[in-house]
Amino acid sequence: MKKMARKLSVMLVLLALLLPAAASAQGDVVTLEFWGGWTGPDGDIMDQLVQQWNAEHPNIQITLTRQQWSPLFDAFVVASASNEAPDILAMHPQELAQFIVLDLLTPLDDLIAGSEILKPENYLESAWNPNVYEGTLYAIPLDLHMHGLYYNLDLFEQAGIENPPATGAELIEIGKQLTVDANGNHPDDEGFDPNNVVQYAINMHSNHHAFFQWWALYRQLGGELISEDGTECAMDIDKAAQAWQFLQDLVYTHHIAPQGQTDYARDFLSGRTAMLIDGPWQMPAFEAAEAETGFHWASAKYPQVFEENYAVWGSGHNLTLPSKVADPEKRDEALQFIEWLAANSTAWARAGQLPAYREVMESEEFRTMYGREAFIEMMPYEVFLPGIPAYNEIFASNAPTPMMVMAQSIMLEQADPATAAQTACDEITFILQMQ
Amino acid sequence: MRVLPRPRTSAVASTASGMGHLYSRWTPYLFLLPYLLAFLTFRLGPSLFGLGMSFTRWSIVGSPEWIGTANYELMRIDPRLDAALKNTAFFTGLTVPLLVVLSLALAIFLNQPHKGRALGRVAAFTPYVLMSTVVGVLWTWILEKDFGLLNAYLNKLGIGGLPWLVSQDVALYGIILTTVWWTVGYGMVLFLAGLQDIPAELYEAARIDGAGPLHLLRHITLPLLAPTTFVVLMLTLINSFQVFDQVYVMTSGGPGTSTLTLVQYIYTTAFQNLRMGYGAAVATLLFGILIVFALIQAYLYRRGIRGVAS
Amino acid sequence: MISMRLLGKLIWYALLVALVVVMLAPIAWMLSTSFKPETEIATIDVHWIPRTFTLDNYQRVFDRFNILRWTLNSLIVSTGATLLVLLLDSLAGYALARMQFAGRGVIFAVILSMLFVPMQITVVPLFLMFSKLNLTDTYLALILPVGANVTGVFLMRQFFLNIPYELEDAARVDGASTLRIWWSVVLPLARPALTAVAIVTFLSTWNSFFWPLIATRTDASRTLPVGIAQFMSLRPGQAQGAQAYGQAMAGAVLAAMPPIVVFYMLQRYFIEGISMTGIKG
Repeated sequence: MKKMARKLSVMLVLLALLLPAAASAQGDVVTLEFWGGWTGPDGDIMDQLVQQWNAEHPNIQITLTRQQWSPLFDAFVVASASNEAPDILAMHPQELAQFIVLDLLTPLDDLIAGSEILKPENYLESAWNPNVYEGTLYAIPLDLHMHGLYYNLDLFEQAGIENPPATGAELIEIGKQLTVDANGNHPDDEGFDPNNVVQYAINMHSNHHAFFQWWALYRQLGGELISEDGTECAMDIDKAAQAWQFLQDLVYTHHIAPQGQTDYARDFLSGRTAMLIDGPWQMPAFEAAEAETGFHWASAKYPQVFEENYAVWGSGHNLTLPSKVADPEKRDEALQFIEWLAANSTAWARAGQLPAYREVMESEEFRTMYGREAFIEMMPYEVFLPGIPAYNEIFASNAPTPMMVMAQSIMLEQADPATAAQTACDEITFILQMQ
Repeated sequence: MRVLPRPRTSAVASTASGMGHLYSRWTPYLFLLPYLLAFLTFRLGPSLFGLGMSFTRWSIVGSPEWIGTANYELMRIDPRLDAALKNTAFFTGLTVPLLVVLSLALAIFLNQPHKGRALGRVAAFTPYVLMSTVVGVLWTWILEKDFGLLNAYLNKLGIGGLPWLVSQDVALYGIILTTVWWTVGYGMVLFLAGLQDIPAELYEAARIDGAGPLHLLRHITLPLLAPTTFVVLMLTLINSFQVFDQVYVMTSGGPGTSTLTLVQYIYTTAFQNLRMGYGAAVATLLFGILIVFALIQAYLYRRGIRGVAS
Repeated sequence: MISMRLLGKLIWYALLVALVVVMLAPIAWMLSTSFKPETEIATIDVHWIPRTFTLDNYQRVFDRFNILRWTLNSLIVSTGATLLVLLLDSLAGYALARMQFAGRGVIFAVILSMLFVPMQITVVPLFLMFSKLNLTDTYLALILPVGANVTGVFLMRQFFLNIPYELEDAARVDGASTLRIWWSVVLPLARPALTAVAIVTFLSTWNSFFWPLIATRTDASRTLPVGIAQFMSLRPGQAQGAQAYGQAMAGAVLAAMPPIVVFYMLQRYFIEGISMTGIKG
């Protein structure tokens, strides 16, 4: 019996050794599943990149699945429950932790040890580091994005303003000049009608970007959100309220930003707002508008409202290798693709993303693309939301999370910032202690 | 044949028992078998699995951890659940009467013997064939605050537009409006069928006695439509309590918690927060609420029928 | 008296026009928007006829997405599910309505009670099951669970309760088996109910979103609602970049047209069929 078992196992080992060789000898095709949440023009560019890869690598074929982030992660978790996760999954660094604690992502340190491309020194520090969780690397950065300030050159010229606002005070001052009601009055003029404004100075998000902005201002004040041991909310209510107050005043006191705005990109393109705070992903649309209708725009850094330290909300895309996959042997091929993607991310930059791979980021071709300069300057000051296991429960944009409720009650319903911040803080502690 | 279903049930019993020898003991089960297999595998089994999960902490991946009734205890102190219950009750409380009354009114209106009523019926039913993704996206666009169609006309009429989906005070009304437009045709068709079952002689006899249209409505149409009304009420109640698709596509429960409904909350809890156990507990609560409603309605219905009969 | 009747008729027609406009305007607006260039869409003044008529939005949808494949998948899945439901539910409904057996009441009550379980809770066990069977991302994964639907059984049972016994009895006297009676006597009689079940099942399968989202992975089995969801969100900030209303509306039109066209062609059956779903127990 024993002999037979041994014989069998030897045969099996031999078979196992032979099989991959046989497979490659026959030129078998490895197929990889790649999931990403890019549903706009950026998704089209990623699709083109994948097609380019597939054409260049007949032995490794990639299928790109695009779906909005939230349903994409629903499907990812359920698929992981039965080892059917995709081979490559894109996400944002702050979202890693919730999946890491469930053991859904592969630690990468050993896997990339031999790579010439996937090394920390080849990437921007601010892009690489958020992908390290408790000392272990779980994702390769693809790009960064953050809030910047866009402005309409024609409207600035009409108002006789040369430079975009760099501070909070300038924002309010310039903002008043750029806000006009139906009778041509500005906010400080007598007879100004705040209910009949035809041109606002700046947009105001009614969605999660509102608390992204709050996060930047709160970090400019040096505020912390989660205690170091991760068990409770560490919000400084005074600073939190101060940051919110600034944003709330833009709408309700200075009347230079609209209340409950929904389509801020379109409002900016149509001249309804003279400035826009939003991410670099907007640039392709502005470039298109420039080509079509002669729309004149420029970009600047997010204003430094509070002097303590400069910070701007940011995030980025990264690529992970899920652990609960049908065939972990495909990881090498997956990493090859990620390497290739890094080197070819100039095309990705055209979608308005800021490549995290130094060689591309520092390339002449990228740096001279119109409007990118301000964003490149902000890269080191980008602050991510805390990447904690309860990220989704506290920060998700498509659920009544504490942050969404706080932001919307303050910016849409004019709730008292300190009270709303305290409520959010209590809820955050409640969630953290439920873990 | 629709008016008197109850005696028929007893006819089944007597006939079947009288002819029991004509099919073997096992025949009924063989007829049921294919469906029951599917039902047990794809519906009852997973539901019981969910019930079991409600006593665990489970993040979908990995193994569930038994925690007894902790999830049920958590429900008592969860402010989001309170909001979800309140919103669901408000949504149901407004949508169900609106749908019942409007679909009844439409049915009576489109039952008038005028040319063109078929066009009205088709138009009223059309939205019902659309998928929720389309309805949600279409109405997000129509209810858009600045460029939306509805506000454009409200402004033209001098009423002034509303910040439909971006204000906590009106967002739920936006969802209700969408729901009514989407599903009113269904109730209308059911009521139209009910109206066909009312014998025309009843109206003629009453008219000869000099009854006006309101009298006819109150004393003939409405009482005889009671069974249909019961069905429409029941169906809209079940659907309203489980409203999800429109909310998911249009607001995801926001702004704030203003459109957070029970099933949206179950979805968020289970799939986004990865608390499958707690989500299952909330689902069990929803099941309990609906069962209670169903029993109350069935009881009232039976009493009502008996009242009419005696 | 005559003028009163005329007035009533006038009012009736005015109301009819209002009704038709209110119910169809949103769909017309969807069509109108889908033919406009993006620059013309978000303007404060309403114009129903596009000033610049363009097919660009459709072109982009077809270029970017495999929408024909999704439509084909939806057709196959909805048809398969409908056939399956017709078979299972007419068998089960017949037994529940016309036969005496132990546990009938309980079985029916348990079936009905499943109407109260939100589907979100059953999706995960379902997926685990199909994954064990190696059937995820297949048509079968989308078709089989529909076989467990409740409304179909309910409708068939209610209908069978109400058909006369004479024909069946005659067939029995001729010595036909129960299965034979079901097939050649009862089913032909049940055409209205079968139509109703077919329409309801087809529509709900065609429109179903959440289970197909979880169960499909590639265009090989992805259905229309799941496919179009990726470019249909109009909530600000969902897709990074400006909202593409024109494209979303073009997608909506493409997804809405098949059921609307079928409904208009078969409207009599639809309305008769749907009205069957209200039969009372």
